[in-house]
Amino acid sequence: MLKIENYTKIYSNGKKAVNNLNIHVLPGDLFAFIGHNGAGKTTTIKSVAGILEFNEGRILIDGVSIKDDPLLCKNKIAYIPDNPDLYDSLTGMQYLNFIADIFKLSKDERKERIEYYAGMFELTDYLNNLISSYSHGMKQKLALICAFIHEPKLLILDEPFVGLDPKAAYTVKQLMKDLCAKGGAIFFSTHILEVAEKLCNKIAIIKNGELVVTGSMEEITKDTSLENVFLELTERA
Amino acid sequence: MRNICLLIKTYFLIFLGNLTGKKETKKILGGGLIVTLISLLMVGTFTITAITTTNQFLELSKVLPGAEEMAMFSNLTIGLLLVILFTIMRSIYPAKTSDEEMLLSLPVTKFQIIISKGFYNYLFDVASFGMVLLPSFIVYYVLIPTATFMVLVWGIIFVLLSALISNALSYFIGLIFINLASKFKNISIIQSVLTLICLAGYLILQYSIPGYLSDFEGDPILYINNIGIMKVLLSWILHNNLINFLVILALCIIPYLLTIIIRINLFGKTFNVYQNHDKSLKYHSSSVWYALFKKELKFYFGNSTYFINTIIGCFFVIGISVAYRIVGKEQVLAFVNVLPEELRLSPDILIVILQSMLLTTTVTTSVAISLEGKNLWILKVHPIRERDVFISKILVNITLSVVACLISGIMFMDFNKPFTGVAYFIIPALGSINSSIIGLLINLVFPKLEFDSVEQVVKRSISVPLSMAGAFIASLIPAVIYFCFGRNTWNLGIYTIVSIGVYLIIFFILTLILRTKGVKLYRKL
Repeated sequence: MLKIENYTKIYSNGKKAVNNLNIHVLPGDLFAFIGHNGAGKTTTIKSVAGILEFNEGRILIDGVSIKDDPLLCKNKIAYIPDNPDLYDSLTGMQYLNFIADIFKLSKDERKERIEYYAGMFELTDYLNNLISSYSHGMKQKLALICAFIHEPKLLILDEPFVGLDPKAAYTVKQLMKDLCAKGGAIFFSTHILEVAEKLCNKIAIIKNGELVVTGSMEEITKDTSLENVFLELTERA
Repeated sequence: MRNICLLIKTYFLIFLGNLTGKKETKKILGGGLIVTLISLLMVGTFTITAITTTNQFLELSKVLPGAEEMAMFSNLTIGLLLVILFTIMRSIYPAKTSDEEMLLSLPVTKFQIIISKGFYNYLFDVASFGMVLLPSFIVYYVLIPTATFMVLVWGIIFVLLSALISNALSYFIGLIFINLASKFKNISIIQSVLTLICLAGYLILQYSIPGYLSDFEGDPILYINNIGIMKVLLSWILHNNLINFLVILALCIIPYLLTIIIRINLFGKTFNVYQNHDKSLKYHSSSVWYALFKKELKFYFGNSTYFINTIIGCFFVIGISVAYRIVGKEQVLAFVNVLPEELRLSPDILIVILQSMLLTTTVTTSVAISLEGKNLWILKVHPIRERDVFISKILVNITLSVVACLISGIMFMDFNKPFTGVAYFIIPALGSINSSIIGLLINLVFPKLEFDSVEQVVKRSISVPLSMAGAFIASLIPAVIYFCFGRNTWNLGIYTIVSIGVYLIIFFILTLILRTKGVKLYRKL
């Protein structure tokens, strides 16, 4: 579903943010991407989402290179940043209609999905209010609804649980599992190692732009906790 | 007292930080230089205006004793109009503070916070109002032989008092707008329309003063007495009427003290934001480009700063065309005849050039990319073609200018020659399409995606003056060709054909650049 091959990103100031990264996410995978602040997680995720250009390597989404056919790739993915800045001058409903228009959803499709997801995140009553009046958590929920309404094959999330209330966080986890059960895949970064350990079947740890380890959760954690593995690998490497 | 001084010092440090951005000597010098230049420009403009007017009335006073007081009347009215405009504009957009919670958590009283904030703001008002109002008093004192030193003293006191009343009025009107914001979803549109009305009112009044004074005959005191507040003011300033001074003193101080009490009571309280109680959800389906266009239009009309700073060209084109319809073609002809022989041109063509020139100040695209700011990820992460993004942004500009061209075209049209209406519509409209592409290209070269407020982008981006300059040059190319080759032979018909040809060539070149270089620049953002 997602193949990152020899990915290297160098910023205009010459700083190498990520060096020769290789990651493979298969259909059904719930893949956690872990690292310290500034390790290169968000840079990688932004390149996968088509926001940032990169210097070397390839990023393939469902077999299609994001560089060669970005529109086709973007039709298959959904991305949510760690701090979703949305259009404050629109209402939640106007924003949802906008995203539905981008993905060319019919009136019936959008009605069904918006009602379903907005109800799930308890946002229906607030959809006619301006986004500028939303709290961080409400914006996060709206961004999540937008991510799910076009039924993406690959979901890319940057710190998806920040700002969410416990119920919404539970709902997101369920939706993530459902998507993977249907053959989709999820690639997300998080600092909450307990969540990653319980939720994910695969993991990659990155430090200073270099991949430290990648593989299945069982292989990497074995008989210890992910926290111990992470601390040991990142301090040793 | 220590806390108040500490808070005032901090506010000044914040001001300096905002001015300079980074702690680099060059930036600090640059910021300081801009402030100094703007101040000098303001003082210079008001001083020259005051000298010109005062000399005129001084001359008149030789045959009409007392006419010199009209100089103070005229200069003070012009200055006060600007102060009133500033007061109203400021109150339409009440300042939002983000430091309330932080300040409340500190061991300082609300009284100390309000007094320090009030004093800090007051100093800025005194400085700006001084630049606008004081030149009138100084010039009057220097040029009018009968003026006493008290004119200067009263002038300084007047500036100090006007800052108080302006501050108080702004606060009271601002409270109304904060209240309205909780009741109306589209408060920004209301604010934008009100600002336009204020600007129009200011311009009409500003240009009415010379007209009012040009009819000047008879007793000057009668003219001053026609406007009540000016009668009270001038009687105090020029004739040392202490009762009038006390009246004005009370009128300025009492409302200000009232605002202090209200501010202390309201400090830290949150105001309601608009909540739509209609729970029914409306599902609309549109094409991608139309969805983007709707989004752009909502942002444009929902953002007063963006709207006001870019609509000005359309506003003037329509305003001048309406004035033209009222005053008639003769006035334009009279203006043309004033020009030197080598610059005289057909009034029909002059109108088109004027329209095209004015519309170059409406280039919404010059900041359209920058204003995406932190929302740019939305456009980049979704399957949206760069072409659709560009078209939606250009279309906002075109929509505005087409409306302005249509209205002004009808207003300027010679109904005996319907073709003139077509020319007055099509030439500036085509020029405006090119201007919008130029603006977009320049913004792609000079984007400013990191900002705290829209003002920073709209008023302080290098892309804005560059876009206007680029648009101005491109729009005037047909006029330059006309001056070089056809000034004595071309009529409006030939000028129209040449303009369309030139604008189409420019359009194809610009489109080509946008589709190649423009797309590359966008992808790199």
